[in-house]
Amino acid sequence: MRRGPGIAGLQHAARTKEQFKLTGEEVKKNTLQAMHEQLAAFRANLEEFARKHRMDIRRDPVFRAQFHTMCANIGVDPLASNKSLWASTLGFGDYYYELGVQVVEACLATRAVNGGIMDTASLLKYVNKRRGSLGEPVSEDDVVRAIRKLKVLGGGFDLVTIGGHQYVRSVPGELNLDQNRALEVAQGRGYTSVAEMCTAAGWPVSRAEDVLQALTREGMAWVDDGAPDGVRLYWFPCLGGGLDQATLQN
Amino acid sequence: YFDGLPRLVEHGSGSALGKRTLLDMILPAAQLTPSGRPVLQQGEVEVSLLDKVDLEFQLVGGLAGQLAESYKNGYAILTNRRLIWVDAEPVSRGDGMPVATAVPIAAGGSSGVRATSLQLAAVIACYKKVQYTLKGSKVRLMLEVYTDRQRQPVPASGFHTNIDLLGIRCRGPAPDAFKTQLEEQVRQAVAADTTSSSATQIPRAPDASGASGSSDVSSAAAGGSQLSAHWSPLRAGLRRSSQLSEASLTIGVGAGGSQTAGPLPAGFGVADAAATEAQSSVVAEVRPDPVLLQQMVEMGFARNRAARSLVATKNQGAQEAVDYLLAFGDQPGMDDPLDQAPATRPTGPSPAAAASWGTAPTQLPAFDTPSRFYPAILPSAGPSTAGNNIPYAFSSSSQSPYGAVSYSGGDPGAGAMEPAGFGAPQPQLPISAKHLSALRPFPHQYGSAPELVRSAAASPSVPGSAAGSSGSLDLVVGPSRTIGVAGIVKREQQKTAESGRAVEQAFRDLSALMSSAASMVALAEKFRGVLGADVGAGAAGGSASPGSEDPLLIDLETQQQLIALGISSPVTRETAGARYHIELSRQLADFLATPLQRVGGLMSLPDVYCLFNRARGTELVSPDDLLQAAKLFTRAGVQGLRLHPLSSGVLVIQGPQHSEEQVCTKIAQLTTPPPSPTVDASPVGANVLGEPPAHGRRHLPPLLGPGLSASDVALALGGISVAIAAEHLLMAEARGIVCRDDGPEGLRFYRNFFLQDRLGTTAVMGF
Repeated sequence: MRRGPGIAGLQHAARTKEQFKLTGEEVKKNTLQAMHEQLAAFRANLEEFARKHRMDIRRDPVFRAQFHTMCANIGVDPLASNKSLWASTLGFGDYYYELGVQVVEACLATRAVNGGIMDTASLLKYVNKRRGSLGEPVSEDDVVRAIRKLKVLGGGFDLVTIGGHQYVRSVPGELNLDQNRALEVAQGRGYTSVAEMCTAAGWPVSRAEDVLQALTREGMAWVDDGAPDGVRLYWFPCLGGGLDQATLQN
Repeated sequence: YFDGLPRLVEHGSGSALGKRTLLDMILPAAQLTPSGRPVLQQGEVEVSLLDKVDLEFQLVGGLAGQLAESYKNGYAILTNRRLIWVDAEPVSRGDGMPVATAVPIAAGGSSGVRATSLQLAAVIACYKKVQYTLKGSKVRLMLEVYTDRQRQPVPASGFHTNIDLLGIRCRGPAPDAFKTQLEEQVRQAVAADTTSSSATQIPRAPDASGASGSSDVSSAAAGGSQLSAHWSPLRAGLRRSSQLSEASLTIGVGAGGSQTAGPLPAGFGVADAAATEAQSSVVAEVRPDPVLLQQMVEMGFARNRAARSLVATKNQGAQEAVDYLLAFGDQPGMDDPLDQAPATRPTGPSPAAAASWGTAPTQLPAFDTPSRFYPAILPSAGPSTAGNNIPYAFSSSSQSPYGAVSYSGGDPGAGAMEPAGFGAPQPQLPISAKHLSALRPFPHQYGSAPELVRSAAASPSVPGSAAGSSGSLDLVVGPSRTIGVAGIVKREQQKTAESGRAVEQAFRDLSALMSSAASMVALAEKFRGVLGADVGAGAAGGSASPGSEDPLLIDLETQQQLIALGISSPVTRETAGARYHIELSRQLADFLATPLQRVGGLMSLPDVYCLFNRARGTELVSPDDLLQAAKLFTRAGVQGLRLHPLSSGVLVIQGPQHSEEQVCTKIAQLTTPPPSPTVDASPVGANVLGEPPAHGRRHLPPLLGPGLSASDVALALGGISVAIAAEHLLMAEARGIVCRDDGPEGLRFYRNFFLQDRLGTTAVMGF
């Protein structure tokens, strides 16, 4: 396959290129064929698996989590559609979409109190309470997956991490850094005050006031003027500081 | 029948139509909603959908007024009552005008939406036919349908004169799953139909034959009710007892030459309460009718053949028996004498009887002859539902012990009747015992035959007891270990060990599955790049015909399979997975019509998701599917609804009359102050103009009314999210209905008292 000089060389080069192209197409066709066969074999495998372990997937959250991790590892999204192979053979699509609906309703119900940010523990409690004893138990992993699916719908559903804890946000609009910092500071006791913000975060008074008022406007912070020393406290029910018990009872 | 010649089944004279029509089936039209989805009746649910199907008739057929040889380019929707074919053409209408409903337009051709439906209760059998040609293979689902004189499908329990063939050519995905679901639904539909008709047997007679005109009723007038309604075990028993009179009737009608074949075995096993009669009558029915037999012998058929054919066709009539003979005459064993003992039933028709409904046709020798439907009908009662299996399984039980086992294992409903101990189950026991002893390798030990017989008599599930007894056999060396506390302990140990094993096994299976999936995904990844490049290059990768020979492009089916695996790119899904999403978007449009109006025309996607899924109950949609469906509104031909991103990032579905007026009136209503009863009752915090009026107005200034925040509006309007409520408030403010109050306690909106109280600048300045 020496590149010879002259016209002969050009012709030779053209011929070899043609050859390569043909071989390439051949290879591609073979690979396609192989993929078809693998697809069929995989489908059979999946149905076999479903037949044996359908109940396990439903009952055992650990197994479910494992399943999802492995799917994510190989780049497959089993919850993408209820018509997909996974959902129809394994039959857990409905479970997650139902969970998604319940998560949306839970967020809607508590939005008036926590302003649209809810920590996952209280969300889990709420959802389990809603489901009652009939449904299969819901693990945190399931809720997280359901929320990840809900992100597609827009409307701000997302998981945010503030100060090491995970929260579910259900309103659009980001928390800027300052607000994040305020929530972090308040995480310890569930409330904070302007003075505390200044000392903890090192901000000037105006900045701390600004941030806390913004959070109040958003609805995430509640003002408490009844503290013994008269200092205005800002409570954050979304941090699960005890106000959420009241909302659960409601 | 199916060689294109006209039917030879009309009366010699007196036909209501006056002449033989060459027309094929006439199907009723199906109503469509404005967005193009079929209107479902009450209690009807959609089961499955098959894309790219053509309806093919034998000669011509279809909607009255739009007869054609075939209806091309549509999709089929299977519900639990009907099979609906919808024309896919009008999707490509550019102007988005509402397409006409399924009223056929006399202009003919393919104008307007055509949708036609076929009731499942009229379907007898369904089989898949593949034709291999040079250009590829043609896959068809052939349906056999009962039709009446006007060639319209009638339910199996009605009065029918013909069996017509309807072809469904499947150009798209493979129809196997669809076919199984179709069979299942037909089975259920036929069963439901005959239960409803058995409840009203006599009155149904004129109804069922009403379509065929009164002439038929009069021809069968002598025994009107007996002929037209479905075959019921009760009546068969009565028939047995009054054999001669009934026989004369069938002769009379048979001589008339009309094919008044009662739609029998569709209704065969439904009456559970009459199962006992079914038992006895089936035992009796195995015998051929002597009068009919005599007739056939006089016609020239051999006696044994005639007897067998009469048995196979259940003594319906001479005509049917003759047809059967013509079809199966060349079967080996047709000439064997028909013995009394069920063990020596002819093998010809019986395998068909024992076979399940869907596969019966493929087992029959004479594949394409019309009389196929006889054996095909016989097992159509369905092996799975309780009680249905009794007549057939009994007849097939002699064949194989498996028939006996499957019967007894398969009907919990009949279990209650078995201990009553009528004659039928007895012959089974020896067979089943024999069968089970064949199963068990070691000789009878404890928990053996005597226990088996007892348990078989006591409980219907012979295999269950077999399993139990063999299980207990496997476990023990001696009987003492299975009883008492030790036995319980041992069983519990076994259970936990098993569950532990099961979990390990599950994880092993999971890893095995994932490894196979991983290798396949890796392979598919290679093609994703190719596909992307081709789509980018404008080559119609998604719309390549399924039979495309081009090795570079993945064909439609593979794309769909990739999507089904959840590893597709968004591009692929948009082009290839379209049909499901288009249907979903139409369904969504139909569903959202009312809620959108209620909330003023704007609804955010999470709310839509909740509402839609709550309404669906089962078969929920994923968020991705919903988003996809919402994006496809234009393509699906839905008018009025659009997906619209708001500035805050919220995705909303906007209705046709995004009715701002409605929202504004509601907000205005919310902000009006309650009428104060007395002057000196001042509502707390409501009066913003606290000081007495400077310019000496006699009454207090009008109250301000409540202040609204976005969440208040969301609550009041009901069913909308706070983001949308905020948008509505901003819109109302832009119109001058409310004014805002932005303070440290949040953003609130009050009624625009500047405008409404006619406060000019002078009045304001006067403070």
